[in-house]
Amino acid sequence: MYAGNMGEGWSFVAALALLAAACQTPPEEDWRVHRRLPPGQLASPEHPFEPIPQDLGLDPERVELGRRLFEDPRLSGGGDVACVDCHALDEGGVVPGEARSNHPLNETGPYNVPTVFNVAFNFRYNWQGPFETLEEHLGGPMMNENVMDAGSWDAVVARLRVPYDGAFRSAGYPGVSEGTLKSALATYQRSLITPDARFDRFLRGEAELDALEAEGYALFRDVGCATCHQGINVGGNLYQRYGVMADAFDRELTERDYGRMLITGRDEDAHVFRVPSLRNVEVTAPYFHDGSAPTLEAAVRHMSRVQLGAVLDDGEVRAIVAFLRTLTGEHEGVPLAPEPP
Amino acid sequence: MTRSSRTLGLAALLTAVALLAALASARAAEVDLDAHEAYARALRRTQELDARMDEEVARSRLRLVTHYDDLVRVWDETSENRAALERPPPHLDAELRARLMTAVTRYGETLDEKRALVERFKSDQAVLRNAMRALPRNVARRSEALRQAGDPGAAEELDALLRAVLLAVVAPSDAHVHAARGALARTPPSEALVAPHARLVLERTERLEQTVGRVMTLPVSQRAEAVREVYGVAHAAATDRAEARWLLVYAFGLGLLALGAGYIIVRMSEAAAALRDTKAKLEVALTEIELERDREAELARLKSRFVSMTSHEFRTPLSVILSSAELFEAYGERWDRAKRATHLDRIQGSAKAMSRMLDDVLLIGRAESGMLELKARPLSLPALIDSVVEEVRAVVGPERALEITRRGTEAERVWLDDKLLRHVLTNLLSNAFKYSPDESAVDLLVETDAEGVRLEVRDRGIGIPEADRAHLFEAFHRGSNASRIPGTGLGLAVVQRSVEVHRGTLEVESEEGRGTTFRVRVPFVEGET
Repeated sequence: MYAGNMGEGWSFVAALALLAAACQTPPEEDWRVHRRLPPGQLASPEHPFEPIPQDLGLDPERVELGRRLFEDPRLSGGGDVACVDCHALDEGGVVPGEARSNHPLNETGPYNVPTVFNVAFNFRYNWQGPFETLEEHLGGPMMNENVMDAGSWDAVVARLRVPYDGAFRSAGYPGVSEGTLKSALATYQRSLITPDARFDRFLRGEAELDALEAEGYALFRDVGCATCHQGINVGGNLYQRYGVMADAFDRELTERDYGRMLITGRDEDAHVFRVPSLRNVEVTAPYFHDGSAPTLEAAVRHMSRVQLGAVLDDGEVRAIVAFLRTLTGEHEGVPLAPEPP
Repeated sequence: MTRSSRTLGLAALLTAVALLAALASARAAEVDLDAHEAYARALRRTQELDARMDEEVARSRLRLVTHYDDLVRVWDETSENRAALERPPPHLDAELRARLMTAVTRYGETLDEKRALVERFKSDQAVLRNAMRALPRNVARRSEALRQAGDPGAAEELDALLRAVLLAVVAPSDAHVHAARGALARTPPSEALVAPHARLVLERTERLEQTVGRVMTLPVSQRAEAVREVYGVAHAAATDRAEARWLLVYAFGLGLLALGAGYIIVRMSEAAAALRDTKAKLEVALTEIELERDREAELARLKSRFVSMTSHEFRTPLSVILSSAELFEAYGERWDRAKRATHLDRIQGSAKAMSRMLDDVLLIGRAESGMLELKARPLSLPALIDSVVEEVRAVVGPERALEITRRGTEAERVWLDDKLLRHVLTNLLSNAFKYSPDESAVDLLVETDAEGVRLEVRDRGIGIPEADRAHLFEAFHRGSNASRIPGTGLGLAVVQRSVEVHRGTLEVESEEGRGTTFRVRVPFVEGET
């Protein structure tokens, strides 16, 4: 008779365990990562800049997985365009030698491709700054039918589930999904930093700028470039109107020239763009959202005129350009540009 | 398992099911404390982050900070915190959750507004800084040029413009701003290095003051406070509900415990009762076994007594036969005829007595072992009685008086066991004559009716002492007053067994010294009369 009681007791315990298991729903996964600038200590009102840290402490397996995805054309709808096609790492993270985005789907893309280097430190993405995180930004180029034409995230997941399932699991993801794909790709892009630029070593007190560069640095701040191009990414952390002091356009306007107004719909945002980072600017020619400046010198002259109302002489331009070249860093120990002879 | 324990078990099972259901509902309503802590932390952070945002704007406005990374950091944290607020803990009631989300959305909208203002502030602040830096230099350069060109008045105008603009920036009263605007209006448009910067300084200063004022006065804190209030209500409701559900679980749990305890107690008392029952049965069985053993012992005792008595009773006639036979052998030749006859009679009488005794003993043995069977056959009752009387007279002698009375119907033939009836009548009549004086008479009454026959034998002899009545029908038992009269003590035992086998009744009525009456009633064997 007590054996019967025991049986009831065990079944009760088993029912409890089942119940507990049923109640234990796995937490909803959230791969959305909020970007955080690394803490800065060196910036001062006189030197409003921060050197890039050596390492952001990202998961190396996820970085490697993201690299494979970044180079995989299967992300695109036609299976012919990979991220790396427009963001070549040996070409400054931009379209090699091209003024603007240029790939099989769109031979005359409207925007100059921003570099993928140091995107971890930008406060918004794309020229108009509609995206707050790299994860959000991925939907831009991937779903754009003129860029990668990936169709939908479900379609991308369907294409990549079989070849990538094992890799995702070994990187600690529960499998291939929109969230984990974005996470892996964004993690890789965050890893693309270029520390140890000469300017960073100068900020850390490890190197000196030569006379021309030092003069350029002084002008950079004195003329007013540094009011927008400041912080860890020497830009990339605010919006600014293109053409504060003068009309920036010496041609007929097209839609892309309205900048942030296309996002907010407000007149006051006309010609407002995200201020780009000047890091590695030496290797990311051409310049501006429309790629209208082929050289650094042209860019510096144009900027000082339309933004600052200042007319610089050749020596000043040369000095500022010399300073800008000190912003070229190294990716994985390899300088993005050869050291000047 | 009895009904009460089964009912208790069923009730316990039902309570267990109810407990499981209550538990499931309690688990479903359970307050996720980690989620609550995280949410409460996010709520607390709203105020701190908003204050930091205002502080960063102010520091930037005062040019204590000349880069925007710190502002970006505060915004990042604010975005993160807002995302946390948009995912409230799962345990909230649907309606209150909807209210909470409405409050969070309003908070978010205010944040978006603030953000747009801060972004505009950043842009304007950058422009103003550059204009403020460029204006004095350009004025200095231009007035120098004007003075060298011989136009000190124009140079003076530019210097005045600069002073008016700076005064309007440093002390932005209506009068100062108005004066600065007037100075700017008087400046010729040809002053391309001065006028645009002066205009920018005035415009952006005014706009920045407005922007900063709006940034600082946006009701972000109030909206966050509203979220906090709604969440407080929702969380309290969820906590109350969870507590109520858990109370139900505890109630059912207690009920289950009580029922379980009751069940165990009932089952234990049942087991104890069953044990007592078994013990009582065992005791009864033990008693029966003991009785059986006593009976067997009695039987064995009877048997051994029977054997010893039988052998004792047999020894007397045997010794008579032996002695007469020995005498006959030694003196038979010399004895006269009469003497020889006497001894031969003794031998024959003893042998006959032994034979009778053996018959009686065998009959008693068969009766006691249940092997004496009723063997009825149709017979004539008067003929049977006459035959028995004749037989008895031959033994007791013709001088003894026997009074026979016959009553009732006299059927031709009745079904009876004639052997048994013979035993009964022979023994009763023999005894009546044997234990009464020679001069006294014996009465025999024979009465028949439809069912059976009644026999009554009355003597006027020595009677049966009270003490012997209990053992009257035991084999070899003899009355204490009968020791002088020869007998085997088997007669009445035979009578009693015979009546019994014939399913009849036997009564005795006796008075010591006055005589004895035996009454026998024997039924005809049924269905065969």
